[in-house]
Order: sequence, then C-alpha cells, then structure tokens
Amino acid sequence: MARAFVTKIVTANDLLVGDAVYLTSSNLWSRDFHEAKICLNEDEATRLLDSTNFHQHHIVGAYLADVAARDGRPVELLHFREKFRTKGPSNYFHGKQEFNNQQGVA
Amino acid sequence: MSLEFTQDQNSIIVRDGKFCPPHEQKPGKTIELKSGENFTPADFSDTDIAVIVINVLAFNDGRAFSQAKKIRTSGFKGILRLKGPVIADQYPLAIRCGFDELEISASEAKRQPQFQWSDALKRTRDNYLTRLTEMEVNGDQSELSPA
Amino acid sequence: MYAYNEFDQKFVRQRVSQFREQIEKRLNGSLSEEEFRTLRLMNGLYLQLHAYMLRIAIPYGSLNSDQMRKFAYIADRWDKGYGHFTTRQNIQFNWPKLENVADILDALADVNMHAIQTSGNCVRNVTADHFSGASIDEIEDPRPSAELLRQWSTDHPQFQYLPRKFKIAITGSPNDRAVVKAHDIGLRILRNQQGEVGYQVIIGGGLGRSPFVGHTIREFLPKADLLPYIEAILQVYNLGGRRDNKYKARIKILVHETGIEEITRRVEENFKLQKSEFQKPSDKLIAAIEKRFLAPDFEQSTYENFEAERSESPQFDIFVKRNIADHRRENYAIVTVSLKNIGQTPGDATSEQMRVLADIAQRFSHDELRISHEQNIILPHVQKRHLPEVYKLLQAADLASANIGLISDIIACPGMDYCALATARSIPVAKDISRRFDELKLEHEIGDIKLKISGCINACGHHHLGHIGILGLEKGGIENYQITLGGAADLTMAIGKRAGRGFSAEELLPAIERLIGAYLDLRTSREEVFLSSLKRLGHSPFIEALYPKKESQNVA
Repeated sequence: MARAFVTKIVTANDLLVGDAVYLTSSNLWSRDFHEAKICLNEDEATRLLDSTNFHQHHIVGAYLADVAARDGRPVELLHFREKFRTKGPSNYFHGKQEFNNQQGVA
Repeated sequence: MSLEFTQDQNSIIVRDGKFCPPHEQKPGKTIELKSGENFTPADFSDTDIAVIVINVLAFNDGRAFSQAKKIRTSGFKGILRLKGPVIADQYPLAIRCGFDELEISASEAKRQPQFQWSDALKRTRDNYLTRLTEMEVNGDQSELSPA
Repeated sequence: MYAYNEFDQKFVRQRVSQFREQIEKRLNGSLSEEEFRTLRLMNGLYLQLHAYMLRIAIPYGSLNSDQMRKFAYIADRWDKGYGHFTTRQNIQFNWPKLENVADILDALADVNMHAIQTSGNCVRNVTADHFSGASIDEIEDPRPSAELLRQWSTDHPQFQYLPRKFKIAITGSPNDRAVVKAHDIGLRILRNQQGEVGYQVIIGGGLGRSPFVGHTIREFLPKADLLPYIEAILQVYNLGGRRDNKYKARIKILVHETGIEEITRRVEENFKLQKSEFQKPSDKLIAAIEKRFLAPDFEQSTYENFEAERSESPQFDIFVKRNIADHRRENYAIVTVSLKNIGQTPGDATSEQMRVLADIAQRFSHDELRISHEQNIILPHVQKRHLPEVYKLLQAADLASANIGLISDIIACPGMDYCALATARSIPVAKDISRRFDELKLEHEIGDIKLKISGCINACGHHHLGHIGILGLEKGGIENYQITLGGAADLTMAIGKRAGRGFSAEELLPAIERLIGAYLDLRTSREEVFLSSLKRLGHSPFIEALYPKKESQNVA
C-alpha cells in the first residue's frame, strides 16, 4: 500500500545570498516558508519542483520539504533540519532568526 | 579501443583557442579510447597512428587527463584530442596534460563562446609544475639548518 | 615563516580573477550550477544550510600576524565578526555573500592567502604537525616538504578532477601530531640506518563511513623521490579509483578492494616512469624552499620571573601544566591557546581575539601562529620570561582556558547548525558536555581524555579517533547520538568501537556522565588516564555504565 502523501513545499537556497527560500504560488521565492505554495499530491509536487528548472539563475538545489498545513497555508516544517533552516544556527543569534527579530522591532 | 572514427557533424574543434572546422582527412589511423580505458605504451608504437581521441562522458571525469599524460610519456607525437562535454576552465589543464585540441558539441560551443576558450588558454603558462622544473636549485648544496 | 615570491602573488591574483569570471559565467548562464559547484568548491566555496561558507587554507597550519589580522578584517567587513578554525588547518567563514567572495579572495591575496583546493575532488590543503620547527622531538621540519607538495598539487593539471577529495598530512616527529595514518597519504619523516632523512609513506587511511588505518606502502622513500612517488600514487588513484559511487571513491576503498600488494606494485611500476618526468630531484627543491623559510632569530634569555610567577599564581601554574609544551630551545616554550572556552563553540574565535593573538604573536612569538588539528591556536616560539605577560594578555581576551587535553578540549564539526551534509547537531552537544563537567568541577580530576564529535558519518569531527567518540545521526525524525570507545589519533591510531544503541539528545549527557563516573570509580589512580583504564579493563564495564539495568536506573 502506498504511503499517505505528506503535504509539501518547494525550497532551495538563494543563489546570491545562499539562504533558504521557498517557492510561492505567484512563482516567486520568499524567505518566509509561510508564504510557500503547498502541494497536496505527488503529481503537483513533481510538477512544481520541475518548474524550478527555469529558476536556475536565482536559486540552487531545489527540493521538496514536508509541511503541516492549515487553511491551504503551511504552518510548520516537519523535519528538524528544515526547522533549523527557518531560524539559523543554535550557537549564535544569526541567520533568519536575526532577520525576523529585526522585522519585529521595525 | 576502436578504430572507426566518427566526427559528429555538429561538433566543433577547439584548437589554439579558436573554433575550427574539422580536420581534413589526414593520412594515418585515428584511434578512439574511452575515458579510463586501459592501454599499454605498445598500443601506440604503430607509427601509422595520426590521431588519438579520448572520449569523456562527463566534465568532472578527470581520467582523460592522466591518460593523455601517460600517452605523451610513452612517446606519442601525433594529435591528441579530448572529446566530450569539456568546460572552458578545463582547457589549460588539457593542454598541460598533452592534448592538442578539444571536440565539443555545437550546444556547448554556443553556451561557451570562443572568447572564453581563448581567454582560458592564456592561463596555460603560469603554473607551479612548470616553475618547479625551472626553479633554481643549483648552488644551494650547503646544508641549511632546520628552520 | 615561508616568504612567498612574485610568482605566488601573481598566481593567486590570477586565480581570483578567474573565479570572478566563473561567478559571472554562472550568473549569465555560461556555466550550469553543477559545473559552477565543482569550480566554486575548488575555490573553497560551499553552499550550506543558511548561507555560503568560505574555507580558507592555512598551509601546514602556519600563519603570521598580518595574515591573522586579515582574517579579523574579513570577519568584520564581510562576515559576522568571527571565524571557525577546522581540523584540517583551515578557517571557515559562515556568512559570505556570493557577490563578495571575489573581494574576500582579493583581500586574502594581499597577504598571500587563498582558498584554492580547500574543497572539491582534488588534493586538499596539505596539513602538518602544528609544533613544526619548535618541538623538541623533531627529526626535521616537515613544512618545506609540505610547501613543495602545496606547489606541486596547486592546479596540477591531471588531478583537479579526481574520483574524490585527497588529503595529505606530514609529520617530522616520531610523536605523530598530524594523524598521518588517517589520511589518503600520510608522510612521516624519519632517518634510515645510514642516517639519511626520508619519508615513511602511508596510504589509504581515512575516517568517514568506512574508517581505515593507513597502510605503509614504502618504509623509506628518499627525499629526492618525493614528487615522482606522490605523482605515481595520484596517477594510479586517478585512473583506478571508483567513480560509480561517491562513498566508495576514496583511495582507501581502492586499496581495500584491490589489495595493498597490487596497489604497491602499480605505484612502484608507475614511479619508475615518473622519475624521468621530474627533472629536479625533490630534495634539491626542498632545500631551495627551505631558504625561503625564514627561521626565527632565537634569543638567549633567563626566566626567573617565570618560575616565580608559577609559585605565586596557582592559576598560572595550571595554565603552564596544561597549555605549555617543551620547545627545542630550553628558554622557549610552545603555548597552545584554547579555543574551547566552557560553553562556547569549539574552534571559534572573534575578530577581536584574532587581533589580540596577532599582536601577541608579533611581540612574543617571532610573528608566528599555528592552527592545530584539534582546533586550537599555537604560539610556537614564546620565551619563558614572557609567559606571565602573555598569559595576562590572553586572560584579558578570554583566551586563557587551561583545558588543553581535558574533556572540554573537544573537537567538533559544525554539524547541523551550519553544514548541509550533517544529520544532527554537534555544537550544542560539545557546549553541554563542557558546561556540565565544569559545573561538577571534575575536569582536572578526570585528566587527559580525547572527546570528539561528528554531526554525520563523514566524521569531520574525527569521532572514530576519540577515546570517547560521538556520532550524531537521525533516527525516527530526531537527533540520535552513537558513542564509540577506544579510538586514538596518535601513531598507535585506533578506530573506536561502537558501544551500543544510540542516545537521544536528552539521554546523551547523562550517559557521558555515567561513563566518566565509571572511569573515576574503576581507575587504579589518577595516573591511569581514561584510555588506559579502557585498555586494562576492556569495554564491558564502560558499556554497562552506558546501558545500566532498569533497577539501577531507577535508583539513579
């Protein structure tokens, strides 16, 4: 029996900055995974991932990541590696966590 | 090793940093080697061999560089050609290993225009291996105390 | 220090402009990501979890104060104010942007430094004993040989696209401080019966997924034959190494699958051909290079103040006992500066600390610094009379931890806090362990022990070689840590044995505490270090401590 499909989003690293980015429904890349387009089945996921072949001048190494979604939007990345990518390292307050903090202050 | 030699109609020869038309038919045999294919120096002792082509399937398969060097070490004086998806940055390495020319596909040539190859060729000269053979070592016979 | 010349300068500049072009070619589509990846790796540029990472070579671990200051400058200008020193005598910056990398490389070229071949499937930065030129037990300084190998391997036309990466290490002392048996090629300088200096050549060692202790392929290689012999090994490997599976592509697998006898035969046969290709004998080249190694101008001095300070300050005395090694000159000492402060990231130094170290090196260590494979910084030539002052300067910069060789002197790879290949984090584990044993005030009681942590099977943290090794993996969607026991990194190199099932992140620290507790209970005296107890008693009592029976767990 086939395993139940887990909702997915497409992620990659930004070519210029190198940080984690996520593919949105408007076919753009966001630094916030909450804005990512979710794929509800295997075909959709494959198609969306294939579409990134046309984005090679912006991103590197696109792949699919499992998410929990609510109301058609991703709410949580499931793997701990992917959770780390949304924040940054644990030893210094660098990476996305720093950026998010700045946003909060602004 | 095969003796039949097929030059792709759409392929381009890179020689002296320029895109060239294929060679006119030359007297002598052309031998093709696969990347990594074993050979012994005796295989090339036939003076009738004019061209040896080494085929690579991927740019990062570096065996052809050592094959070329070995073929030259064994005394082969004919034309040595590297055929496959080579990138311009590899051109100086190929020359330094003993290749004379490259054969790339038309699409590779389109993606990497001629100036990239002529620029790359300029980087052939200044290298450490050449320098090590030219390094002045005479006159330092006196034992130096360890630093 | 080795004095670079115009050629070296021209070469690195050319390489920077080439890489600048390669970046442009990637942006304009002339190079695919796959091709660019190969080229950027050859220039030390990785793409990690959160950002690019630039790995810069510190050839054979030696640098001067200007070079260290340049690292500080780069850290402040283009990164986040710190750098990470690695087990292969490199420094890594974790936050460069692609658009700045060529500028960073140009800044490095100002001080003759570069990132060439710090990654990729080529011959990597040649590493050497970090006490080279200073240690009391040295037969010959290995750095001129290492410099020759650096020049030979740099942009070597045959060996830029090897089946896999290739690491060479060299030591000039019988006490191996360069882990030569864990490298693709390890070289040990020795004398033969005639008193001539040459190399023992070891090949096929390595860690990672399949750890191997290297095999000796030549008991004694004359110095004159170094390059043709190494060239022969590399050519045999380039043509024969597996390219079908990257986990089986290292030379250790070729040696393992083909057999050392057959590999020896191929290398020796190839060596005969290579000898005619190298017109200049390697010993002559090394002698020419040696001339460019400017030996420190050692001074005579007395050091009553040093002895006085030792008896006055117990803190200083502990520092001397842990962090100072004998120098070949009686009035000098080798200082190891710990980058393992309690609760901090192993191997990290701030730009401010780099500047302090540069200043100290310039004033007190004949302008020399070294990076050790244990991720510490060495001041190789400090007069004993200056040690009290050096200690105070280190203290002021938070660099005076007297913990060399102790349980907090941990080797750890960056793990999943940074590395795209990691399967678990290693930095928090290192921080927790050092904090815990500091709280318990047990560190000095435990004494000499090597604890090493890797965040994946590639073993950058050398966990196989730890007396206690920790390997972070993923199990069932969470981080899981396996413990190995009994590894050793010296000339008796041994690969640690797995103790049993892995531990979750929460279970790990208590497990290490039980393990150390068992050692403290079982040792005959303080003189019996952890590894000796392990050897005397075997692993069973320690495994029992790691995996106690249910009832004893409830009591605890």
